[in-house]
Amino acid sequence: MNRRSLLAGGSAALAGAVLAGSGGSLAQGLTGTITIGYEGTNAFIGPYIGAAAQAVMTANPGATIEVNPSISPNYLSQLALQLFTGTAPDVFLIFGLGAGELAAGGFVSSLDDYVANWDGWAQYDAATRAGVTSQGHPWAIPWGLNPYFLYYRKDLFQQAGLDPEWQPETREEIIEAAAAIQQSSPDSIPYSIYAGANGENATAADFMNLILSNGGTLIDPDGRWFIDSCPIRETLAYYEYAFQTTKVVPSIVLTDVSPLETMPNYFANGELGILHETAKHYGVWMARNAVDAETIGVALFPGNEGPLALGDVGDAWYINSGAANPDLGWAFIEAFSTVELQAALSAEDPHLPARLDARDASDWLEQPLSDRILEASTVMTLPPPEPQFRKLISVVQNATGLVAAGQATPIEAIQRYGEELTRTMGEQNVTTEACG
Amino acid sequence: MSVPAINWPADSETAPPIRRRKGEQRPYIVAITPAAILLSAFFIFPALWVIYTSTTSLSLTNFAAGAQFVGLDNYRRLWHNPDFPKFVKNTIVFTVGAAMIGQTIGGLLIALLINHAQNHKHKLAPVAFTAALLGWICPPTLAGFIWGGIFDYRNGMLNTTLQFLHLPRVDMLGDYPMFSVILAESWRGLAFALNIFLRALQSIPNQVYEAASIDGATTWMRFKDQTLPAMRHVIALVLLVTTITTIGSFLMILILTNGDPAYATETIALHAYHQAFTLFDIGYGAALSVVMLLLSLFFALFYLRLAKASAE
Repeated sequence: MNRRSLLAGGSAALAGAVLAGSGGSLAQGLTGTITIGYEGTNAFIGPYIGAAAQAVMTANPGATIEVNPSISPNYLSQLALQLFTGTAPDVFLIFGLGAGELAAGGFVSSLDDYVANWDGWAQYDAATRAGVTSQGHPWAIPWGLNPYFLYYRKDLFQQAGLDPEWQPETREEIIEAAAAIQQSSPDSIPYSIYAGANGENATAADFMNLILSNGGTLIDPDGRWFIDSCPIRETLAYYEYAFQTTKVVPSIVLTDVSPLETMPNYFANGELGILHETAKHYGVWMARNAVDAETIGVALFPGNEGPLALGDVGDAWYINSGAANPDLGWAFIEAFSTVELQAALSAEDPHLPARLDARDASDWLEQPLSDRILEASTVMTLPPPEPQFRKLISVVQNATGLVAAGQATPIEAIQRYGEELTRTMGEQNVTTEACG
Repeated sequence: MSVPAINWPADSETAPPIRRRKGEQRPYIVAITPAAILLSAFFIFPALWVIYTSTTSLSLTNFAAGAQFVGLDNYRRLWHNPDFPKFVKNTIVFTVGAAMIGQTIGGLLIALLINHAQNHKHKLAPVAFTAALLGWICPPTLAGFIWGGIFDYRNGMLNTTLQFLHLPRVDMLGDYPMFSVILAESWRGLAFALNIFLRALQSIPNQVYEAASIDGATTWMRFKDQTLPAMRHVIALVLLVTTITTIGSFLMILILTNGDPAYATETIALHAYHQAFTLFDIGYGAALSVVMLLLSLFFALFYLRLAKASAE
């Protein structure tokens, strides 16, 4: 049964497939009630969650699973408040990168005992496991990894006389292509990279991507944060070059209050030339029939040592440390983590399936972006779930925002970056790397 | 030529002190108790909680550590934050621009115009009054989206109009972010001031102006010597209310700029929100709220003293 026929048959058929996919290994004899929480604005995932819940309830007639999608525009804040006040769902879906912070805060349960008895865990490679591991324990189970791509509009490229099969080899080539679009389509936004507070987590992702591209890292092998290094300087210089010197990234990318929604929309409408974004946007564009595969070009971001892809482990399932019935919660997570479900969901909402065996599923391989996602997976860097990551985001937003707005030079901004990071992380946790 | 100003009664003349024997105060105490309980429940206790929280490390993402007492650490952190002077400056500029100039002075000017139009039974007076009220009845979130729709660089009403007139587009939220949020906040809050000023203007007896006119007073003299003194308490009240609400108001900024670009519109209130509900650092956010409370108290005392001084 393929994904389309599964969805056409509704969640009952999907639940049947989940049961079949679990090979009858779903836990049985469980009773009680649990609640499941996730961000309800994700249109793709709801039916799959419903199907996994149904499969567990079918295998366990005494069990009840209540699925409560959140409609809050700020799901993260809502969940944080719920966790703090002890009213959070028993099992919830949120980004896997938060595993370190949630574990350090004592909000989630370690999954050691569960994964030790689950043969599916062997299908998660070391990098994926590391992406949800903190203090030596796994805390979450991801379903799909999320690589970043350089998306570009082939129609705007052709108007600018550029190669529609463009694959940039240097960062300078991106600026040159954007400058050509700026000339040929003056009303368009040639290039978008996120800076400042409005870019939210994506500002930190773009910053990290540029650090990687310049051959650097954010943290040294001893776990200390770099407050100054050549890659950090070159990254901030790139922001200045893109926003201020060439202006190929116009100021509205910085000043728009929700660029994470607006820029992908501009791209889908043919008003934006080059966009650095995650794989999942491709699925949104396709679902809206906003563009076809012929209009969108996909490239990997160029680095000093060849193409690269920043990624993250995407959203992952956690068990609330206050959950009254964690075994039932795990049964749900297990049901959601079958090969069939991951392949079908990752095909509809383009991701790299977290399970290695789901990457061979024909359903997923048929999806038009899968070749590029597989290619990206060979050069993908997944940041570790560092507990202090949230604090870093605010420091990065400030430094990039100052440079992009023309209120500080890269050297001034790096000084601020260093001061703020030192204040935030503590003097003993920061270091510098000489830059000739 | 100078027209003698009317000697309006001072507070001390209109409200002589009440001196009663001990037993006579019981009914007043009973009457005031529900208000005191409500005030305690909804203001004093939460305010005390915020002050206490500002001395702790309470963080939404550090449940395990709990709320450790850290003394004045959050205030020290705030003092050493190089952006803090910018947040204070932004708060003052936003408050002076939106509360004092936009809402109070703007509200007074429009109230004078509408009052004049109503006195002359102009047909458009009710229309103008209703139009001014629209900003007030509009929910703040909707008002934010309306102004976002006006200022949007690519598809906004302002730039569409400018393009229609073959004029270059203006990036209001990028190039003039503070002016833009002041304009939007003034529009939303202006009707409150306008309404109060209009009622106050209508309570001034016409004979006062007639007498002044007979004495040869110009329009400006009538405004300066009769209207302004008659309205000094109302102006002080409006200034007090709009200032305090504007210091704590951040929704319009959140929707239009979210404090960007590079903290150009980040006020203390918005920064407290960001710290508490984006970075989940409740202790530090509470410290910022206490600073905001002190700033509001400063303005409140300043206006009350000003009103008292002008009365004396």
